[in-house]
Amino acid sequence: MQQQKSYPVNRLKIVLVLASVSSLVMLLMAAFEENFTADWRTHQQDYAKILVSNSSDAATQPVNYPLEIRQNYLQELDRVDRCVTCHVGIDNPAMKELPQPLTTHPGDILKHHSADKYGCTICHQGQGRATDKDAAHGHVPFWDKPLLVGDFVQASCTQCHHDAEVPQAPVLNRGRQLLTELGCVGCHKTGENITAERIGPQLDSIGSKVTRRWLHKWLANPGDYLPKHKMPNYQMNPGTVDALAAYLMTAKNEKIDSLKKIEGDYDEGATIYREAQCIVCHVTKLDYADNPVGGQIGPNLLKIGNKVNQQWLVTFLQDPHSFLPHTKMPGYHFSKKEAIDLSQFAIEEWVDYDLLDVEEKEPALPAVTPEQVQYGKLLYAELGCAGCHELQGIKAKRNAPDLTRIGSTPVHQLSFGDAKVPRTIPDFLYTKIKSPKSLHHHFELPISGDVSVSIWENLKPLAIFSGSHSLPESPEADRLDWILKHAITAGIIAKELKMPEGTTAEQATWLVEVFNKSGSLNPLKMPDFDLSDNQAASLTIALMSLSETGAPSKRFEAPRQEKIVFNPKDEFGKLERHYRCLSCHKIRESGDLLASDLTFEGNRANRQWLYHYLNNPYSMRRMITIAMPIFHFPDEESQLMADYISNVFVDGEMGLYWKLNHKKADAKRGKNLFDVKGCIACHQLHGTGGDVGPSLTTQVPEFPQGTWVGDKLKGEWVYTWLKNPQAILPETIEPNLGLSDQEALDLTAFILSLKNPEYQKKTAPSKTIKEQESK
Amino acid sequence: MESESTQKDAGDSSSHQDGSSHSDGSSRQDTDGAQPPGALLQLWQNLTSTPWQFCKSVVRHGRPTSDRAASQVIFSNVFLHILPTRISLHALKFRATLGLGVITLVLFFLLTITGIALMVYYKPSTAEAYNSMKEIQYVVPTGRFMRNIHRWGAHAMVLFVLLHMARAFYTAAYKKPRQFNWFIGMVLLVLTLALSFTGYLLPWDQLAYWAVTIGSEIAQSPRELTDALGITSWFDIGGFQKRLLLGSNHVGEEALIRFYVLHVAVLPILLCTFLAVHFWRIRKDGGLARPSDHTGADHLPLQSISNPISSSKTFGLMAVVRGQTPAVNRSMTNTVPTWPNAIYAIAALSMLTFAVMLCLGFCFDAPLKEFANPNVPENPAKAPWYFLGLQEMVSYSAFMGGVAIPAIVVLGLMLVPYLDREQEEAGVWFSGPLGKRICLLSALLTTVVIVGVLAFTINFGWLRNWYPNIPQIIITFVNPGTLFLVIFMVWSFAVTKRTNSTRMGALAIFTCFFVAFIILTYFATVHRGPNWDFYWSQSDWPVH
Amino acid sequence: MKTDLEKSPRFQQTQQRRDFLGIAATWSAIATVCVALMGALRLPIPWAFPESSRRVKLGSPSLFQGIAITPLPEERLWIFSDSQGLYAMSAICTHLGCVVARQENGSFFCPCHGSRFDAQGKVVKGPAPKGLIHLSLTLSTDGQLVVDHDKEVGSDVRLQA
Repeated sequence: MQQQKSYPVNRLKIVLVLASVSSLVMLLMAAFEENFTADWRTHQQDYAKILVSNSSDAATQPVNYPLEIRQNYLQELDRVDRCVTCHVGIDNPAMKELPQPLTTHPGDILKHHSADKYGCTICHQGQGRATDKDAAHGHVPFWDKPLLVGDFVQASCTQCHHDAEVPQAPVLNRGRQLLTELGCVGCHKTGENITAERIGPQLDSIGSKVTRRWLHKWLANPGDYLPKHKMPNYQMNPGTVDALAAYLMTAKNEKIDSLKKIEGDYDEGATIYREAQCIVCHVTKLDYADNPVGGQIGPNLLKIGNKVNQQWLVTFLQDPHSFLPHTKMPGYHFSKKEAIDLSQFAIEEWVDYDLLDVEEKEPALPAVTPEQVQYGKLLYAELGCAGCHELQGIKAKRNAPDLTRIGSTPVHQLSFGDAKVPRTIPDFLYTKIKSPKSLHHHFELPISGDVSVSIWENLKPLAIFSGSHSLPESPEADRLDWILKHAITAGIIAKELKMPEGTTAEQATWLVEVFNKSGSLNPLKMPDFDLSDNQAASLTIALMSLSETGAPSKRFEAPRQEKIVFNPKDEFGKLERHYRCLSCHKIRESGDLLASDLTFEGNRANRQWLYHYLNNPYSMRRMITIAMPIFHFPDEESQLMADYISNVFVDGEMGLYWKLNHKKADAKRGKNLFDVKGCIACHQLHGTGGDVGPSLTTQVPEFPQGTWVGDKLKGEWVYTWLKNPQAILPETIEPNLGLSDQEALDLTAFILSLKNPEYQKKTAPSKTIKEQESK
Repeated sequence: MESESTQKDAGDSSSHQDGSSHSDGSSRQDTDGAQPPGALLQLWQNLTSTPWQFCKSVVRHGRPTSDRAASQVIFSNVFLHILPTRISLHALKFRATLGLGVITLVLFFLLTITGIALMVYYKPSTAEAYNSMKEIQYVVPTGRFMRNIHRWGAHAMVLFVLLHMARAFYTAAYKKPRQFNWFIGMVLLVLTLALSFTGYLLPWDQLAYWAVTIGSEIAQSPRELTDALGITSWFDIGGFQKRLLLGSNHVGEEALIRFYVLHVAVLPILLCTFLAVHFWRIRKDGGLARPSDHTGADHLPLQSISNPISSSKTFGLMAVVRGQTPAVNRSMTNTVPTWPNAIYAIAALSMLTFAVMLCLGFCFDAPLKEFANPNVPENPAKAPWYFLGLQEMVSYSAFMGGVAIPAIVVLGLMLVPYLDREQEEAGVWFSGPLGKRICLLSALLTTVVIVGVLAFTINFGWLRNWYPNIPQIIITFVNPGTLFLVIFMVWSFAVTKRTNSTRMGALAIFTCFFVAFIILTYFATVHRGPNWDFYWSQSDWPVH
Repeated sequence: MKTDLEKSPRFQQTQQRRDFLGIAATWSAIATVCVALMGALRLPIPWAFPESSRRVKLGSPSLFQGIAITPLPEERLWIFSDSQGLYAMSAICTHLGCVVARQENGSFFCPCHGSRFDAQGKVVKGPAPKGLIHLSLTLSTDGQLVVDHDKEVGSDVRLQA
């Protein structure tokens, strides 16, 4: 018989027992974790408890609140949003006081975008399918769309709302406006919804307009010349400034240069300055606390004497539109004499004499070399100057990173550099906008490959290698020398530096260190706009809204509202384009609201009053001295405008009740009402009363013929206004008195009865458009 | 009684004798007379004894308390009869096999089960695949767990298949009579890699998309050669391969469906088929490779078989013919009954594997990156780890590194048993001390060569960096990959000549390739960063 | 009669020892496999089905008040309004789930197997085991009408809103 060999099978049994028991334990742990530990169970239990304690009679309405995963399943939007699994109370108004996640959704946005139709992640992003907090909020790796909260949600509106103005999204709107106003669109492509226009002045005759010294200072740091400046500080090194200035000074206007030196009359100029109301648009003085006084539409004029040539100013004042076709500056009818006087006033009044003294002591600027001009031209294109300024037809390259879809860029494609910020798109954008340079990383020599090529590639964006598009074919050491030489020519490195002796690798290391110190190996061209936190946040939101995710379905597209641009092709249009009414006034959604909205001006004011006002505007409020400039319109133009306004800017429906029933009105009862309602607290009547609202009977000694309210306004408008002032001007502080129809009629009658007898003697030419047409 | 029982079982096609049938209550049915009221009673009795009878009909043998019954457990069970009734102690030794084959099989079972579970929810469309992964993770009970086990199990299976191959090679288990089973093993290796690779695309995330894009480009890389030869226009095998794989010119909906079909139907069926052959051949080739017992009875001469048992037939042979067959059980010495010894060994190993996979599945979530974005490549876009060694070589020449060298290696491995026919002790690690020394030397040489060449290329570049206009054909044939190949082959020939043994040469070249695979995989995993540049660690990668 | 071979240990019953370790090993393994299978069998029913909630907000109740019958084909139900209040009735036949059609006379007819229901949903004819189901109507916290497809109520239950 063969012997039975033994085998240590018991050891295997022990292994089997241990393995089985540990597997069993793990299985049970997994089962427990899956069935009992989820956060949402706790939240729903809490919610159910609150429901029970809130329900007044638990007996009649038993609270049956199942614990389950809740979701908004939206096939059409391709979303499954399980946010409501934890945020169970978002549609329950009674939960306002509770903390997250049970609280009610703030605001009334759910009224128009209910969660069961639109879901949550369409606006808030995050990961709708996830059922644990961090994953759902998108705060996990590999989920590019983290939760948006607060104002940031507005970035999502543009998926469905394609209008330039998105309702209920003020921060987004402001940001999108900033994209245009700051000139971002000059260098970046931003898609069709952001208006792209060149916001800087045209530079075609800059060489004749400004002094070279001023240009140098301005380019080096605009903040030195003006505390508030549109042009950002590019932090250019001196070589770059020299070259750019040299190039810009070549843009001369020979007609201006050929003008003789002229001398005007300062006092005459001062009068013109007052009549033209320059202060409406320009900062022209400082108040007692050295704060600038004046409008922000045009440039600050306070140091213009240090900046411009008088010859240029004279030419410009006579015909601003030929220099700046898109300026908001109105065309005045200045004669040559007037222009000379005004320019004399300008350069004598608005000049910084201290600065002049300093400049006199400075050494003369060195002569310009043709290389500098050549290099400056390259820089002009390369730095994106053409994005904001027109010059000799140089086209804007817009070669900065394309922002059309920046909001949906994968995070790992963004270059965060060494910045210590969370790796998310909003953080990236905010940091980049606030301080562009903080996101760069130090250039490091590559481990393999040609050192000179990488250095050259990194310097190329600064265009220091004018006219050469490749490195010379020569040994490495010679190439490094070549790079150094060009960098010195371009003024990137101080001139005294010399290549040290050593191996090529050592030389390269030295060169990189030098370049790193000067910051020039950082191919970043974006300047620092010195924005406030709010501005940066609005811009971030606007940029995040530039995303490739459109409306998920046509059904969700918000209807586009065509923007009506008021730009008539008739005579009035010609006048508007000359006087640029829309720089201050708003007409049918176009223009600005610095002055009144003229859309229904024909309903408001009498033609006669309009005619007189256009000829001689004055302020109705005693405290405010800024008013419409005196344009010295030719008579036929005033008439045309008055007619046009009376006939075209009208809403036939407005104040129809007054038109039909004004015979029932009684001015006496109205007077009574005027006293009872205490209107006098805000409005002046015959020299007594408050200054909050406009005076009803303007009594200025200089203007004995000043119009009273009855001379100016039409009953249909007054009636409508009295019934509901906010319907006409939403932001007005005039209270809505809740007048009955009859009361409003009476009060209107009283107000219209306030006519200045002196003014009534005047008559206006009563030619109408129809009469003109019949001719 | 003996004859009676034989007659009773005559109708039974089974040639086994049912040892416990004597005390069987069912015999009453045959002996009792049939009375009408008795028949009803009989029906009642039959009904009540049905469960017991059913069990009896399933398992004919009794409790495995005797060696004989224990044998019956094995050979009367369709699932267990792949095992011999007695198994050599050597095969049960852990150090003989390291349990690698069993672990691989268990992983395959786990992958099948979890895979079927995942199929319930997975939707093979580009729009829905990624979402269904998220659903599996968040709202499918046990879904996250299943997916984790499936993912980690897939990686583990590739690893263990490779280790299993190495074990078989080093213990000379490919030698006669196991040449063909080694070949089948190579087929199974390729199938496992294919299964893992096709599964890689299914989540449709960035990782999947770009790994598969690279994989399909490698499939197209023969174009590198045909381009260089200028024959692509009429012989575009590379383009053909890629389009066959993707059903399109890029990775998209078609590719996803194809990969899905391959992953859940074609490849598993092939794998199961070859797996069955693989196991069958283990038995037929004489069980696990082991050293001879020195009983001098390697081949039982047929003539020596005398019928030791009485005339009552207890086994059947199809026919008795002259000739020799491989000795299945060379002798009874050094064997133990399979039941329960081998069964416990297998069960313990399986449960241990299960426990480890559960632990992995419980503790580590399977990666799921961003939704696949064809416009934004991952940087670095890395293939699955087992292809990273190839990817490192591909970075020099796609054709050589991705197609030619792997093909040469797989082909070479398949042919090893036919090239190295020295008969010697199977089941001895490294075939003794000399082999061990040669393996160590080969490993050392490979390490030096690979690290040296990689360091060289990182610091100084390769041909194109020195001669930018060099024709591609030269790079195709002169690159680190081919360099390794040549060095290893020369070394192997040298060893063969020096030791005058093909086995030693085979050991040398196998070790070279195995170590090269490990080093290249490690290197490409850890030291390759964005743009396939060298970095000491991932923390040095440039932060975007 | 037994052969020598049959007397050998290979055919002999070995001494039966209580193999506690073996039993523990076997049963712990079986238990583990069973628990794992039980877990795996949980898989086919997800925590949340890929469909809209079964509690559907229908809008303000004023949309339905005073209108005798409002069909909501997408939700497969009708909302009825009578003097006592609102109630909802499912349009799904209780026999085998076809959608019933409303006849001119106010009764309901199922085209699949010919079940007929009266205006209140009671079975009049055909194989349907019970009348059309009246669904629970409630008011949500933000004042909308909510129908719960999973909650059946008596045919006399009305929502006063």
